[in-house]
Amino acid sequence: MQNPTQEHGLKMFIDDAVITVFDTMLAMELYPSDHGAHFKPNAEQVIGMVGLAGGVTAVICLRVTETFAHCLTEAMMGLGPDASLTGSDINDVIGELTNITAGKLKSCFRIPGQPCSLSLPTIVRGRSIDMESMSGTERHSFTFHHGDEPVVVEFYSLNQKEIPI
Amino acid sequence: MKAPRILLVDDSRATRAIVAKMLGGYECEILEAANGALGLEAARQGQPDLIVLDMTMPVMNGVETLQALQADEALRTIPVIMLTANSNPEEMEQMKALGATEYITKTQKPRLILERAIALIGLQAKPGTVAAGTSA
Repeated sequence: MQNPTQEHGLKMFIDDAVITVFDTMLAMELYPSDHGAHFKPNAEQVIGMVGLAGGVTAVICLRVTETFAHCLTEAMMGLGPDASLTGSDINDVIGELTNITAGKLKSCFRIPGQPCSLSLPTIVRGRSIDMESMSGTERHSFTFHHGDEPVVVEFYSLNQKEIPI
Repeated sequence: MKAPRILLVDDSRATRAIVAKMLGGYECEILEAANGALGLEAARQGQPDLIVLDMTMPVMNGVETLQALQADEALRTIPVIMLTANSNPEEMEQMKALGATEYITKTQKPRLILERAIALIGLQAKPGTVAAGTSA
């Protein structure tokens, strides 16, 4: 997406989608940041991924620290800070937040007559995870913060020229 | 009078928890299912008064479940609120044509589900409780 207007349009859509989802589902304010994310070295990260296929072909990733993923899970499930959470609970919440964000973006990218489908969410966990795009795929990264906690949304698009921005 | 029975079909436990919590201040019985196939089975066994049905689910998605509900004479009159991650007017029309009563996106305020449930099945607040979700 070399066109700065398209880049700006994508940022506007992603800012709106992510901020709306966190506000609606978690009553949590997120602020876009131009400074990139600073994940602590060796801090475990949880990444939710959802694919878009059809009129637009893309993958949307939502990356947070494991600590923040725990907070998000407590908030979304209405549990207290001492609640016992399983990895499955955390995966469920990060997957659902990614799914709803992808759904909102899907409606932004709607191309009449070209239906677009969402994949089921996938979760990746680990430390110092690097994601790279393949040839022909463009990667865009957007950082948000809630307090000191970074939330990174990465958007990998295959046919970016088709994105109606 | 028997409390209405509401079936929540969503693969996300978190989303089911949000909806169930919101309905907690109302006279109703909540049934839950984690995919469309389990939801269909729960609907056949539990004969709910209202079904809240997610769109994107493993095993059997929301569209397939809605079609199966409509094909079943004993279930086709149960009102169905489709709950979806995306707001697409074409999809909304498609769901309504397939028999969905309402179509709510997950980025809308969750209390909309409650408002629709009150309108569709006359959900009543539990006596002595302050029902959540309708005043904000």
